[in-house]
Amino acid sequence: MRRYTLPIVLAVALVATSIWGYYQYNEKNDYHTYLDIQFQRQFYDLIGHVENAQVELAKAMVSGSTKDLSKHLNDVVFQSYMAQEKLTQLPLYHGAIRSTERFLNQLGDYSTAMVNKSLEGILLDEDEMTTLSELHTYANMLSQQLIELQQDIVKGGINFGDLRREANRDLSRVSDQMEDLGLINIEERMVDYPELIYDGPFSEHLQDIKPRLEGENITEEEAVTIARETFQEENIGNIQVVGDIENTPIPSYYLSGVRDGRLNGQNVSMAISKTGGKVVWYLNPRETGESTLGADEAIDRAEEFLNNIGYENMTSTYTSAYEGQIVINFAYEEDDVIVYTDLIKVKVALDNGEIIGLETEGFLINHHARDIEEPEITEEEARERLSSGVEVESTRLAIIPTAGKKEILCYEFKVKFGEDHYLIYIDAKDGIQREILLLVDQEDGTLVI
Amino acid sequence: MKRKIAIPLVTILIIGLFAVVFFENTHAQNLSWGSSGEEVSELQRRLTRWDYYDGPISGTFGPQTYEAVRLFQRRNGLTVDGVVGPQTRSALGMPTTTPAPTAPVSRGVSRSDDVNLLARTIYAESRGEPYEGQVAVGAVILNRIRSQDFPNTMAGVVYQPCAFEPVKRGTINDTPDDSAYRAARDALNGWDPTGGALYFWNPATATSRWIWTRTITLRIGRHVFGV
Repeated sequence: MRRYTLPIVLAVALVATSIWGYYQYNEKNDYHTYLDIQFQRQFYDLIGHVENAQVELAKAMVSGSTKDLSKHLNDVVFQSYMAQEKLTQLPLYHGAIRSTERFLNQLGDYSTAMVNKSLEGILLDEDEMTTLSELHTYANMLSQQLIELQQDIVKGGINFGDLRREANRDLSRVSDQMEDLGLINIEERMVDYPELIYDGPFSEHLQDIKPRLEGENITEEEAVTIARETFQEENIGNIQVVGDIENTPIPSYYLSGVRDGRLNGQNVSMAISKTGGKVVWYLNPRETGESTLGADEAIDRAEEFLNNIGYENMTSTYTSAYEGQIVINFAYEEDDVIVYTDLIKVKVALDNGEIIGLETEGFLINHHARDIEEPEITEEEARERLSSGVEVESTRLAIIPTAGKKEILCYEFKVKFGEDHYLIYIDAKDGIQREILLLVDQEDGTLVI
Repeated sequence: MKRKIAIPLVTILIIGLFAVVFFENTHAQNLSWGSSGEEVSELQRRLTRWDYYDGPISGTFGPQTYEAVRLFQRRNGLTVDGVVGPQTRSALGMPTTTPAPTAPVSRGVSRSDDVNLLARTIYAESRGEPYEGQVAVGAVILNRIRSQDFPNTMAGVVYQPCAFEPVKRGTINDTPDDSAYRAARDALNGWDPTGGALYFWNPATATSRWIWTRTITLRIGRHVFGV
């Protein structure tokens, strides 16, 4: 009897393992199938949205009135963003779908820009209509290729679940699979599509923005000196240039240092522009103790700091405090006009009033001597454009940026509607409402107006 | 970079959610040459009743209506501009405002959970890196949201398949430390050490050849950042 014990135990174990294994296998298959059908669905949706975008675009082009045009373009906006959304949820390697993603995004952005134009009563010009028809050609091409791809997938039994597994193992093998899938072909053809120049959001050509910052080029030694002088009160020792920041709008030296004195050993870092030697950003990540300063004292402290390093006429516009720190936004002010584009942020520690962060990129890129035009409509006229349901609390003139990188002079109205505060911007030239911002008051954030 | 350029205003309210609310048609529109619609018909009816206008009730503000409005304004001591603004409106007895919208009782809410998601991603991707390196990882995610080559929401970017290792491994769900939270807040507040980078990778572990075709902007700690 005894000599059978071991074999029996082993047999039982084997059976148990088999059952467990079988169960695991089934479960794995279930997950795999589930995932695969989800991806298949996304893929079908993707095709559907691209097709719809293309059809709506075609309808928009033959629409006679600006009303019909905007109606159909609105659908293009929705369909193209949905298509982009589905595409980015598929387990596809980024390099293979990048231009397709961009195409779908730009199709949506461009259509949005055209809808806005139509709504303002501006007729689309010939170039814009040509761009629309070019976009239509590409949308057409894309949906055809996607349909072919879909058929291949159904026929050839490539499933997205497998693709996903491969992706986990090796991204480069995924890219081979992509080629099999034919996505690379689409991608190559998408690359040729023309660059769009338009006044819409996220316009590609905006990336080549030239900063307004001017000045002499500085050496590494000078950068170290500037760092030391700027943060004199912070006692930073051992400042070194540890790297370069290149291929960005403001090429800079990347420096790091160590705090001396009481908070010995705390690392700080910053970037100083190679042109003009300005601090682009500064970060001191120290933990803060119990708060002893109020917001007003912190704002005074930050203003004093900005004055010391040569920024004048800066007005605080917004503060937000958390965990013993406060971030204060400063905008440049000229002739009682707030210039929101020229933005500097200062972070102050609320335990001892020390400056623990600085961010000046908005200011360095945008600030220049401006000829601020006189508003063409009066404050009264602008106020008439507001809804009768709101209660105006304050008004001032402000320059705000548009999505297309232009600056417009607006009347800024802080209004109360129901329980919420809003900022409404009315163009000082033509009275068009340019922007509405809803202020969400949180216990730690307040707008300073 | 687009952030700095496009909407510094947005950053003013960076913690909050911005709702774009249209108060369309809540204030009576000015009627002028080229306007059309039921209100213009009403205007023409009133002007006809008082013999300022003898054209058709067409609902289109044309030359005849324009002259009639000017005549009305002249006779009633109003500014003669041919535009039916608030004063001419009230003189005509037309409603000066459409009904005010009912004020909502509830207050706006904000999506503060973006901070948590960003902090988790920063923690999972760059624990042990210098602080500015952590802020930089956060900035890359925010730059991706604004880029056309990537999804347009934070969840879309973070959970995009094949994008971030920790999402695949599940470490994205680890509880972040204080430093990751602070870095997430700094990134949301606009600090971008990378100058607009869209990619970062660790040269020691990166498997994709494609990633090296990117233009490098800077190196912090173990990570290389690029556009």
